[in-house]
Amino acid sequence: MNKVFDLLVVKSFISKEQFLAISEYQKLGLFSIRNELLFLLYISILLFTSGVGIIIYNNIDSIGHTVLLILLALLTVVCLFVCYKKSKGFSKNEVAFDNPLYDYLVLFTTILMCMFIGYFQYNLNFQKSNYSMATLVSASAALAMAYYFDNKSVLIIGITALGSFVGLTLKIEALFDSKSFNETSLVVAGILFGALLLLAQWLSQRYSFKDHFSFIMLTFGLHLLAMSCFAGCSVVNYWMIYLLILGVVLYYFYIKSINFKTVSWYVFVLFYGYIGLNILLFKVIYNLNLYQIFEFLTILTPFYVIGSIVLFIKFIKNFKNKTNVS
Amino acid sequence: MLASNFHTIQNHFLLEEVEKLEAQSFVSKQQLNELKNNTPTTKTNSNFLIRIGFFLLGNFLISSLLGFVALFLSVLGDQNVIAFCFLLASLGGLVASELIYNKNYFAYGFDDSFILSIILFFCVSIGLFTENVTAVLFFLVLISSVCAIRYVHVPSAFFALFGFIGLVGYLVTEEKIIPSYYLPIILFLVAIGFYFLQLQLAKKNSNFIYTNVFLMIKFFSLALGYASLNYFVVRELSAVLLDLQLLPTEEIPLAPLFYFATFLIPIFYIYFGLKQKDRFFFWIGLVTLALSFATIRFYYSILPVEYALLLGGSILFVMVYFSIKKVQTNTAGITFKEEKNLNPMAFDLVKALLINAAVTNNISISTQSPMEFGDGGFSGGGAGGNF
Repeated sequence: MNKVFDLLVVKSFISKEQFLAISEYQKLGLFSIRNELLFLLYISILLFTSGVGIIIYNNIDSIGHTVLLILLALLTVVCLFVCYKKSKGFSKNEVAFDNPLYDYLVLFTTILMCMFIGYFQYNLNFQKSNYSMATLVSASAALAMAYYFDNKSVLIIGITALGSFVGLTLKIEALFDSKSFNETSLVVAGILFGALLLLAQWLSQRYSFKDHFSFIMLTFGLHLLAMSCFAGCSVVNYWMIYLLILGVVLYYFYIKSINFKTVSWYVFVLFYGYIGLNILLFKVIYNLNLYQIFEFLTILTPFYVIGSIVLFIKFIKNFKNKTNVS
Repeated sequence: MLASNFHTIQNHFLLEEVEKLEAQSFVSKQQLNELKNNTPTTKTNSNFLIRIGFFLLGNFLISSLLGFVALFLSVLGDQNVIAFCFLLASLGGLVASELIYNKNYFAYGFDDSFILSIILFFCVSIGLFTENVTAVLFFLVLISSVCAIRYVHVPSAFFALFGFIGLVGYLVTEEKIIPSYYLPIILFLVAIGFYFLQLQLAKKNSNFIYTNVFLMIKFFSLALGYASLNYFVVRELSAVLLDLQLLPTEEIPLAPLFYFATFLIPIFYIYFGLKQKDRFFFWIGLVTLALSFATIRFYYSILPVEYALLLGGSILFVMVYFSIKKVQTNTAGITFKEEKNLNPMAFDLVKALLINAAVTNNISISTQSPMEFGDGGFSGGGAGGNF
């Protein structure tokens, strides 16, 4: 392996002293197997718990739901208590546990909590199996956990649960009102929820309240908004409005990706923008009945693709320049 | 032999190494930026997402070009003429790849699609001309290896290896150049051969730019070495390829060897990985060991699944727990410390050497331009007080 460093010295990328330091460091032969061992630990717990789960499932008649619920509640409370004891308390900024293992405990507790809420409702047949309420309670619990213990994975669970609450509520209301289920309301709800996420991110940045959650909120917002707009484009009459919204959203994220120096958003902005542009083109061809020149258009496609490749290269360069300068 | 400048590609990989050194604070940020600005290098997308995006765009381009050409060629019916067209397409891919590499693009994304199109179209054309599987596989290996060497191209290396395995398998199972029962042994020998081939080639300094290609060969040889002697693979494949009809109680020929190898090889990988501090071996060892247990459970499920899970989980937990206890206090060699805590600054000797380096660097800079003296050159040395 040392030949890399030899080459680096020969080409004077690094100095002789740095080379000596590196070879001295290499002599220690450090090899961290932390991640592997932690992963195996995680697997072992997973195996064990699924084994227990299957045993309980097989013997549910002799154990009974109430006992299980109580056990689950007890376990949740114990985990929550341990998390609470080990945490450094609430803070508006980033806080971490001394030992990163407790982050997993917070995640585990949240999952247990959601399981408890869902199981509770299922068992008591609360609210005639309208699960939207349970989802909302789970979402609130997860968000509270995420903000208190400063855990990003839990935040993802919370946002997802909140999103599914919105979706579930709409669907169930549509069912109860015995209307034909209308997809437009779902698309609009998606766009509104995405906008809400953007607003939440803006507020948290404005008041520097858990500012480091911005990344997750914006990522969710970008994908949700873009997907909702694409779904909206299939609605016949209003596709223009949705493409317009898409354009505004993508411009917003274009700016954000350069501010945050996040290449993944930038790539998705380009990707969604390209899809949006193609949808626009097809809609125009379709609406203007340009089928007569279809063969001519086929001849044009290679040039169109070459043009888009050049454009993409330009955009990527633009991103690299802008992020390097600032 | 190379399609573009050797030194620019080498610089690209060397800069990647320097970036790793910067993350370990061997090299200051300033030095890295200077190197980045002053070294001629390739246009490369290190971000995998962007590379895939450009790969897709390249594929669009090729398919739209093909559609364009097909509009005019739809009148042709003769197989040989179509084969000739594919040959021309392959040549077109070759010309495009050469042009792209001349422009100093390397692993950018759309170059991948053109290089792979050379291989694909050439093999299709050979297939149409000869209608012979052996010839197609042979040319797949040949053209892919040439592309892998000429364009320093990892996916081509994968196809070359894949083609080679296919060729050997086809020759043994269909052409029957040797008794089919030896196929696992032959593939195992092929794996060993590939492993030592890349080991030998990787030793040469001038082959440094092929590091990723060698890694691909290494991965392939390790995976093949395991799969060729795995009991499940051998048994199921002999049923499919060799029409070996076995009752569930019957054993395949040489069964003890395969049982033995199914467990011995992963354990050897793990042991070797830990001994040589080779993460590659270690990971593949862990994965293949899990596969070995799955193999055995597939044929002999003695315990019901829930007790197997309980038992497996407990045994694994105990093993991991004691491993953690054993390596927790190690400060050199195999450790349980976090990767980011393995900061070189935590070791006195390394730290002293690096501070020395920073000082000498500063002196040389200050003799050139006294104005830059207070530029914080010590940041590389002093800041990481990780005691």
